[in-house]
Amino acid sequence: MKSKRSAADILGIVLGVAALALVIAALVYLLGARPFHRLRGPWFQTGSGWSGAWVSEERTEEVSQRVQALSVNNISGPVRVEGWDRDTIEVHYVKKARGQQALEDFRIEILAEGDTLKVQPVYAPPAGFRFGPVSFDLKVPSTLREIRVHNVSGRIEVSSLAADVQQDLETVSGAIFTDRSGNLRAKSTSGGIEFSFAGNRLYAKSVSGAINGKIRNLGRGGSVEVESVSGSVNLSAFAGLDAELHLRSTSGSVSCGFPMQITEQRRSRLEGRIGTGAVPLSAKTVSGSINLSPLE
Amino acid sequence: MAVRDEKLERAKKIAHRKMDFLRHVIIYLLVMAVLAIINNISTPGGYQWWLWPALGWGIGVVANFLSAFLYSGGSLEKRLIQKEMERMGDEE
Repeated sequence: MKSKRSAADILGIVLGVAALALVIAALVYLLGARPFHRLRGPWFQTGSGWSGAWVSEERTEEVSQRVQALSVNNISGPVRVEGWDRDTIEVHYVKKARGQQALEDFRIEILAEGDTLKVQPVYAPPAGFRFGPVSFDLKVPSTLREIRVHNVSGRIEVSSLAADVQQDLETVSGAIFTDRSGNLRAKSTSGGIEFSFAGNRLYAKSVSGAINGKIRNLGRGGSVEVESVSGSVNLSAFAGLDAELHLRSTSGSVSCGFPMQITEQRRSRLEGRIGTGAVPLSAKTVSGSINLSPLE
Repeated sequence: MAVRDEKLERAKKIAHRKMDFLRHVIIYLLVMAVLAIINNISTPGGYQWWLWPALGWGIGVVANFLSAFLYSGGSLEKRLIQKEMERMGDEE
């Protein structure tokens, strides 16, 4: 009996099955690897597989050199800065990577340059997609002049400072929180911002997140600019606020709990003066409400 | 004669579909091999990014495979027609 299958048929079936196996293998690998590693459950465990198990290294270093500023640059992972009563800076970090080799391929640089302490992961080129996440916990004295934290994918948190230290906090994906700051620049593309500010200049911008903030004091000659695209803006300010107000929402309501001299008022727009209007205060959002109220 | 022509046409269609698939799968496997080599030379043991195109394109290749070898130029359709005709015959 003659076989019905030709050589081309058999080759086609073999290659088709190979392609199917490759698709299944790719699916298994990609579901177990980034960016799915945050998912949980038996299908998403990342402890083994072709891409290597996750390994981590944890270390604490104390920097005794006196500096005026702290600058942290991270790519992936949260950055927490906490005030303490010592003069030194403590850097605690946990770095992670898939496999021991990948973990050893990048290091954490802690370098005092001039009056600034710089902390950042340094990836050996070509880094490709091997940006292992690093979570930082830093303890700093409240005598610092400035704290600068730039992150790509991760939350930024500054807390327990005993003074109003100037801060520059920026992340692409993650929330920003600071419970006490002097002059502040906070920017997040995808995440909310929460702050407590007392200084001259305040700039807070989030593309897709709400902004909640306290203005405890605002010096003359300063400015306040708060902006969100798809989130609400809720500000509470000290009783002696003296500002020229520009509140504008494209598709939300605007309200102010301070007695003020109104120059223009609509549902989504409010302009006027609180006191003599010494400092420009503007808040904008596209889809969300804006509320300015006195601090309780 | 008409039946023979019809058979020839169908055979041509099936052969054409199978040849299309063979070309497709060979190009797919060659391109993926090149990407895998580039990936592993540039970042040895690193993230296997080439699996993304392998997955995306692979779904298309598997669909092509199923169409060429399982559908087989109307055999399913032929069976369905036959069943329908049988059913109609029963009703009569």
